[in-house]
Amino acid sequence: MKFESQFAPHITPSGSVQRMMQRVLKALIPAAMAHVYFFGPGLIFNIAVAGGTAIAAEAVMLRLRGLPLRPYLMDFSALVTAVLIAFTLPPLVPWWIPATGAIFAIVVAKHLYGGLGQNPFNPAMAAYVVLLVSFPVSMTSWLPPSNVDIGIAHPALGDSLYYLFTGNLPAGQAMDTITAASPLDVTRNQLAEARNYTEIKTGPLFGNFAGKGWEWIGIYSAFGGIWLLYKGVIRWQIPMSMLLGLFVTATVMYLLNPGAYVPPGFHLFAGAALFGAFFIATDPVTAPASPRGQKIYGAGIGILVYVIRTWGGFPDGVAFAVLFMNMTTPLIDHYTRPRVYGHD
Amino acid sequence: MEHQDKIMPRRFRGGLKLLPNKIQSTLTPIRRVPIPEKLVIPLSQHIGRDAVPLVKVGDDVLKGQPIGAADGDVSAPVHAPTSGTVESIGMHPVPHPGGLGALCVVLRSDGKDHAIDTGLACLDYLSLSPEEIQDRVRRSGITGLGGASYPTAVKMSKAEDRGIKDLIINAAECEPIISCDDMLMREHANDLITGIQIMLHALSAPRALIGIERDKKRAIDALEKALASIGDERIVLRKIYSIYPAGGERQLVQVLTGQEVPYDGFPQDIGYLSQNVGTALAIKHALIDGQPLISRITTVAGKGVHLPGNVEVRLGTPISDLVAACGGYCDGAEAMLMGGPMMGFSLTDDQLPVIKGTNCIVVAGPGELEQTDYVMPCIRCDKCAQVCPVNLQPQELYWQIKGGDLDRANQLSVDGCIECGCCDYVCPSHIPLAQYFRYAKSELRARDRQQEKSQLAKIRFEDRKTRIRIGEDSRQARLAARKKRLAEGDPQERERQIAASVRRAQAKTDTAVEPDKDLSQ
Repeated sequence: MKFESQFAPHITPSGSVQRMMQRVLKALIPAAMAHVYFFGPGLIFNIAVAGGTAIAAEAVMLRLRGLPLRPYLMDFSALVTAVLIAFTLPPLVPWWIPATGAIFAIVVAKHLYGGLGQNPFNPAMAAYVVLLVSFPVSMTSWLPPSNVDIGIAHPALGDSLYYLFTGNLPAGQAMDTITAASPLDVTRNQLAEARNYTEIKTGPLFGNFAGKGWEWIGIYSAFGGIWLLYKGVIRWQIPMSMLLGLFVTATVMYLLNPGAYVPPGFHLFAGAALFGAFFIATDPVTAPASPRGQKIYGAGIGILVYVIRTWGGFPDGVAFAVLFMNMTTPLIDHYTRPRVYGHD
Repeated sequence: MEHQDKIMPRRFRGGLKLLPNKIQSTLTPIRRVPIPEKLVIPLSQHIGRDAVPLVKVGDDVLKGQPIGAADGDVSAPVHAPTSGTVESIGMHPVPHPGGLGALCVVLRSDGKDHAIDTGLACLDYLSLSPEEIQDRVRRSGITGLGGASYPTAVKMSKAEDRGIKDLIINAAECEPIISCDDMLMREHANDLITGIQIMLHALSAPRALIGIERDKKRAIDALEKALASIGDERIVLRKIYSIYPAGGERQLVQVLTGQEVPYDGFPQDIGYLSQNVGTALAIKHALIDGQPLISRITTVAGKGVHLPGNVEVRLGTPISDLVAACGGYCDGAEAMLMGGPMMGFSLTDDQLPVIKGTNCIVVAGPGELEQTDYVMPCIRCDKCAQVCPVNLQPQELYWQIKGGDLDRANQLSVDGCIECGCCDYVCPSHIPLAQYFRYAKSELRARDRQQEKSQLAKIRFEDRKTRIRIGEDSRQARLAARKKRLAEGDPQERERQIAASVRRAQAKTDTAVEPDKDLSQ
């Protein structure tokens, strides 16, 4: 009897890129629910626009590069990028912002560098930075979280959609009147005015750990992240060392001068620290591969986040910190290569 | 036996917990495959140089008679598995990952199975010197039966020269589906212990450690019973965790001794020698029963056979006979492997013969061997690096090999890859990583050989140039001396010499068409 020749491996592989990406998407659900709870349905609109654009851009690029559409579109990597971009956007933005972000991430940051697995920079963060410098006003106009009582009501669903499609609110409403500064912004500005954190956190925007609402999005993303750890999609080294890097630096500075610096707990729960630790810094393509390298990489991000937040030009620093450490990945990989069995 | 319930610590990094899938083939005792009418016996069943045929077409041979002689130091003889007549000697397809053929002796069985007196047996092996035992092992054609098929005597003599602390008996059998060692231990525990005792004597080794996966409960029971009845304090059973590839030679040495084998060396370099249980049993058969290596135990499993199990089979038997002994093919049997699902390779024909290294035949049923749909790009998730038992960075090696930079892959120790396939199993992009590493290793080896060859040619060329120069120098010196002698000597003698040399030159021109004549002068 004759048989067809088979190629190794002869055992069904344990996972797939598709399954990994699906799990990342699932792990984002708790954070997304918290986001919608505190900031309204904006995130859903942004996901829809960014997702649709990303998939379309991915299809066009694959066609241009002569690659098969099915396996690559089914890997969900474009969708993951789009959802991550949506998480970085304020809930109320005109449609061209998520669309531009998705196109930049997929076309420039991903495919122009060789597509899946080849990009040196985290595509979602590259897109966020491009959007931030291109549309600084829209990108920093956040609605206050729904549990903050400062007399601002979220716009109605119809008004939100109107803004999404036109970039304007219906006549008689101004964007300024419905947005509020983010807790990181407030902290930053008031510290500059020589007020200390104990005073600052009595403000209406502040909750138990950091900003009201924001802190819970961070905590829910950590839940999703821990599930990813449990499922083996990500490893503990990067999130742990990033949070530790941020926490230790913040602790040292706070102990040196509690009046001038913010306590470490605030840094962990504020802004995108927890979200970034589990969902952004852990992007395997742009991070080092060895456990030792991952610890260095994570710690570097954590320290940089603190540095940017404290002394840099932006209220939050996760995106810049990640992009900066992306640059160091080949170097870290080179110097942290583990010892091979039987070698001294 | 104080170690009985202790399990060795994990000690080697990476690896996988895989479903053993061994129960199916261990439910029934080892069956015997009938001697086929026609056996195809390859002369190359081992690592090293092919054996040289010792028989001619038409010769009658007896069971156990050598039909191929070892060629050189690293080689092994081949014996007739049964009595019969040599029908032909020629190239035939054999089980080989690259699908290559080999020179084979085709034997037509006479059905009598008459044995020759091989002179290998010695009832009191302790009266033989270690060298004598090694020589008999060499003459028995025994090779490592765990799959690698390295000539056992070569390994033993190298090891004995260096002194052995522990003989390591590899009973781990970590690869899924394969159960031939498990069944061998259950059914031949006493003979196995005898084989180990012979090896201890042949190596002048003080102790043997049997490394066995702890979930092989019945094999452990059988070995414990055998050890208790034989009462040899030198042989110790060590249970280890069932983590693939705990049975890899380097991993097992690490688990049992805590030491790593140097990357460019062998276990014997650090005082250990590892042998598979099948090899130990074959040594018992040779030294006690006088039977060279002419049969082995092979697992036949997979959803494509009706009654999976283990069979004892003569070498050279077509694989189809093994399947027949296991109830035949099921409907939809669609692929065949030799070896297990992790390290085995695919066979395209069931008429290929069983060889010394055939530890397992997998007949895959419908959907059992899913071929990778589409290879995605590497996303550097480093799952491969996490499971690599030798701590390589497969994602980086893959990158370099794909880019054609074999030198870089060499620097990154691709040579240390044990081809266990753990990386393949966990790769979410379904990249056949081990295949890339096998390719790089063989390319690098071929390049080394090529370099050695050209180096040798260069040395030969330089030597020749030196020889020519020395010859020329000494000729010039001779001529100069003669001229000087003539110039200083008797004028008459000079005239005579000149005349003689003119005559010689004349004779040379006359006979120039027949140069041979002149050479003698």
